[in-house]
Amino acid sequence: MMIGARDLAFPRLNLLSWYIYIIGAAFTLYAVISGGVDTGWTFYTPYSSTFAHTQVIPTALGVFITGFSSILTGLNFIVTIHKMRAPGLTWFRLPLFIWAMYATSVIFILGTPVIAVTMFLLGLERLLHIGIFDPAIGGDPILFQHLFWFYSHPAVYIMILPGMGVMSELITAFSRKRIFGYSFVAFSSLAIAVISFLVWGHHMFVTGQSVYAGLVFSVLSFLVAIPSAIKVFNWTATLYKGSISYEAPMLYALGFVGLFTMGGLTGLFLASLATDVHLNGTYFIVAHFHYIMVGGAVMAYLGGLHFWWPKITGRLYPDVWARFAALVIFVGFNLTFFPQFVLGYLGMPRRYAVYPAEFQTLNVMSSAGASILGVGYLIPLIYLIWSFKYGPIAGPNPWGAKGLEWTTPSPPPTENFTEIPVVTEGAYDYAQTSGSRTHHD
Amino acid sequence: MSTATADIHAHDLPADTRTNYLNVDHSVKSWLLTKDHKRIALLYLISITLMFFAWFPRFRQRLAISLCR
Repeated sequence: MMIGARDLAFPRLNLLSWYIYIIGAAFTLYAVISGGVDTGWTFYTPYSSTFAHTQVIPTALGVFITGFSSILTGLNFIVTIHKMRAPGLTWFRLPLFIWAMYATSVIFILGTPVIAVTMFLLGLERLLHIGIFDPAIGGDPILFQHLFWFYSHPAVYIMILPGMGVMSELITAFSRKRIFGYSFVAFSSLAIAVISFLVWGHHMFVTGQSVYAGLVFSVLSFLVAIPSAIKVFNWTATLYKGSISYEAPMLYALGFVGLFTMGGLTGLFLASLATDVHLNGTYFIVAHFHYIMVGGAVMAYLGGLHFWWPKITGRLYPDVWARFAALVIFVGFNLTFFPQFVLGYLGMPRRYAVYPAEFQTLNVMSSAGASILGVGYLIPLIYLIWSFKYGPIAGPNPWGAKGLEWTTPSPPPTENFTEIPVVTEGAYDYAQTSGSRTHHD
Repeated sequence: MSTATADIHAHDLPADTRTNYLNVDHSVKSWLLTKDHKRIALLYLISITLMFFAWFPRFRQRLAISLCR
């Protein structure tokens, strides 16, 4: 809808992706219910291939199948963005969310086959013991880690890039300003996608790679901070002298800027070889990861959900509750994960249920924060479901936002637009107060 | 975004737009075999939200075990 299209390029393929996803999820769910896995989420060999007696095969199969859903969706998005844009919607008039989804789709297509092959090899090794990861017959267990992280590092960018795209939409809409440095924000998405494939070794600083490989991966990991920082600086510059209003989506967006910045900066500590040796395997990593994935990706998800909810359902949710929930989530999140930075720095390793007495206070704080965070997530679940049935009618554009999706009724008709819009201006042209994008009703 | 402005918007809608992607067909089949990207997005939204609670059966197992001890 944001590119003025009636649907994706391949609607049937889109539905197929969902069914493949459900089948993959069914295998994974079966694995969870029938005993789970004891390999950790990383499935490191040789434990996963030779020694574990848990549901490794169903889980690997679940991941393998779900991968095809990602690949097909990535393909669908790329073709759609190339071929289905409305007349006049040139590449540099695209909403930045679309640039972010394009970059994400590139990672889908280049990265997901690698994890699929890795899971396939893991299955072969486990069932037939062909020796790929077994040094006794010429294999190498470390090879698994290379293959695994070659996908699994880009995978975190799959999660954060769409969130960054959402951010560019929210920040501009609620500060009533054009984005600062459009092309820098657009190309930083592509830069993140490209560099994401070159940094996997930073997960393996302490698992036996040469010191030179470590140095190169360290430098490349620093490099990925540049496009990420460009985005943060440009969002901040967009806020400058903006006419800012603090509706619920904007609260999530501002939360994102702060929390993602903290997550990104602590990432630099971990990308430095000397500090990583100290911090590796501690709560510091857990905190860093969650500042990006929850403080970043989940905040953006909730912000986006609240922003487009009136478009999706045609209904408004109670704004007071929404702002309250955003605040509860922000407080709960920080109380959960900030103490973990301190714990990790003091040397508390991750994945242990017991710890020395001096770590008690910080751990209790973290647990209390998790409960607050849980409540924070339940509040939107309740009022969003309520609003779907009883919320006041939203109208086509409750935020007064730019973007083609706001020019059509809420909820939109099946074909999205009664007549395909013709675009005559760039994205986020909030400078003009009168007259929005040209559309013919 | 007060209720008053929202109501004005609702009145502004032409009558023919009252049919939308949600109410165009209510049958289960129309949802499970849909080609509409908006409906597929909701299928994802609902199934992913349900997966969020997938820990529950396992949690009950573990809880039962720990209570037995």
